[in-house]
Amino acid sequence: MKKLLLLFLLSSYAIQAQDAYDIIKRSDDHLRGASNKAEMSIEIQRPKWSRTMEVKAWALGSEYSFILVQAPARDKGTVFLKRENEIWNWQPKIEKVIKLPPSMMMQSWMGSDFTNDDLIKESSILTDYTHEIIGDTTLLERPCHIIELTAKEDAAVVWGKINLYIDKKDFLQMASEFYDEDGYLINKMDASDIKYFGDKILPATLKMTPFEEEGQRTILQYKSMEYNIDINESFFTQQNMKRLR
Amino acid sequence: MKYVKKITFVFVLAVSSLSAQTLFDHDYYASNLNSFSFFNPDLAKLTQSPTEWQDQQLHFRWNGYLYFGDDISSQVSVRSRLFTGHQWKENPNGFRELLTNDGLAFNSVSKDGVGVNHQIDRLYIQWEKKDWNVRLGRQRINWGIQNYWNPHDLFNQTNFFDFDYIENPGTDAIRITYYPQANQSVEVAIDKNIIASLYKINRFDYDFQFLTAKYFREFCLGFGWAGQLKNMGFKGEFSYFQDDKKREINEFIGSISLDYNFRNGVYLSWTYLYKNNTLPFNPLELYQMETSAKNPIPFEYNFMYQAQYNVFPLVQVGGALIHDKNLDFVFINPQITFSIYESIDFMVSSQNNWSRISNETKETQQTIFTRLQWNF
Repeated sequence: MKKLLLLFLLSSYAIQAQDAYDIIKRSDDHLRGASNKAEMSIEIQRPKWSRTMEVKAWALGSEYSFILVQAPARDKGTVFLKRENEIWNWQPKIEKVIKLPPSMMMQSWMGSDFTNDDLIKESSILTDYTHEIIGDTTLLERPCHIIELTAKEDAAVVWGKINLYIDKKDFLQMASEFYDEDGYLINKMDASDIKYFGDKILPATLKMTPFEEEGQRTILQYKSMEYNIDINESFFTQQNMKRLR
Repeated sequence: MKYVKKITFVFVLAVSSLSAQTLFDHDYYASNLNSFSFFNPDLAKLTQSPTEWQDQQLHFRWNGYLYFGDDISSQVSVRSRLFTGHQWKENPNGFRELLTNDGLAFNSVSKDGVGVNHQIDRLYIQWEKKDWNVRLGRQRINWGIQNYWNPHDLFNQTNFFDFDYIENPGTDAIRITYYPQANQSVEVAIDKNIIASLYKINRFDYDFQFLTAKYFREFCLGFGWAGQLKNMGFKGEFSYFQDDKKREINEFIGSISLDYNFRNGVYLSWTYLYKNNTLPFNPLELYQMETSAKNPIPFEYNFMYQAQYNVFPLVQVGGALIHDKNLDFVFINPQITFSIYESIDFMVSSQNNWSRISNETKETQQTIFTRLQWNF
């Protein structure tokens, strides 16, 4: 009987973990699509000043991406290319491709509250973490699952733990809480302004707030988003890095 | 000067014959660089130089781009600078002549106390289709795989000390690039002194490159890589030069570097360069120093340490320390940059060098720079 109970508990845990994984997977697939192209603005807000950047981004799955900086003028034309585990930076002023150290991924994205990893999504919320449903709640009138992601021991990731609030109907990531390896809450991300881009429903605004820094936040706004565009792996090359406009 | 007129004529002709498919784009920036220099009094006496002086520079850079349909494009870039102060007035080390010793540079104002110099440092036409790219004219051929000190930069070696020339000079050449596969490229470039090819391939998460060249009257072979050791960047770049008739010694030059970004935003890098043939070095001519692929820095064993940190998103501090093995030359360069407004940056930097003079290492020169820059 005890064995049966244990088996039952284990299997229900496995089913639950599978559910959590499936929810994250559906959410990740929904957000990413097979490929996408987006134009966005990133505004860094501080109590006494703000700065705005404009970028264009192309992505294929989680492995390949381009980010082209369009503003401010100082950095216009700068490109970041990611191919699997490698990252390069194109500096148009000196016409040079610079290979960046992998540790660059943990850095803040050009002074904002987003890390490079948040934008380029090097680490996969699917494969680098274990998943567990820990509750539910309602955000912006949408019922949400709360799923806890714990970093696998050998995963090279920025966060030790992430709590994701995923909308039950459309699998939108309505909010995320990012914890460091010691379990301290570092950043919170809130989604809003939910609307259709083509036939896809998405939050157009993401607000990243550092937990301990009063008056600080970074607001990312999608101006356009196209899904399943006609690009493949061979688009993400150093050759095209110099051609992006 | 005569080249400038000819080129302007051709460019005006090209612009005036633009078809409906042609797109024009441009960007520019302006900066104001002030410097205050202090010179070792003993050396000043010896060289009959002042012990301190000032220079001012207004700088305007304009980059123009023309796109003729999908395949053909062109770039013209002009660097204009207005000089006042010691360097222009007293003309040490032939400063004024150096500004115009290039066919595409001229002084539009040349008075005792003020000079205006213009230099066209990019002027090329480019054809690009599928896996091919052909570029003809004045262009930058940047073959270094290292961040600094590049034995593969045969065409456009940079001068680390001349920090105000971000774009670096161009060279008059033809360059053909072919991309056989997504992870490979072959480049051939020819200018009046150099015929060179560079093959690049990405394997095992590393970029590798192989260089072969006829460089003036020498043959050159080179090998370089950019990869990582764990989370640290790891790069290397080596060249070997052999005189075709054994008139000069064979030269070997190589550099390796490591760099790392800490989670708190601190960036550190270390670069080491070795060369077997050292060259004479004048610490007073850091900015005018003739650099080349064989001589990015003149000493036998050279070390560079760099650090950078964003104190706030708007304030970046950093610095570089360069020295040779015997500490005959030590260079320290702290720097702080403020983002004052969305498009305006203010920088304060200081370059301090110590050199061995009659068996004693003395502070040779200290220069403090302030720079205000507007980007448009």
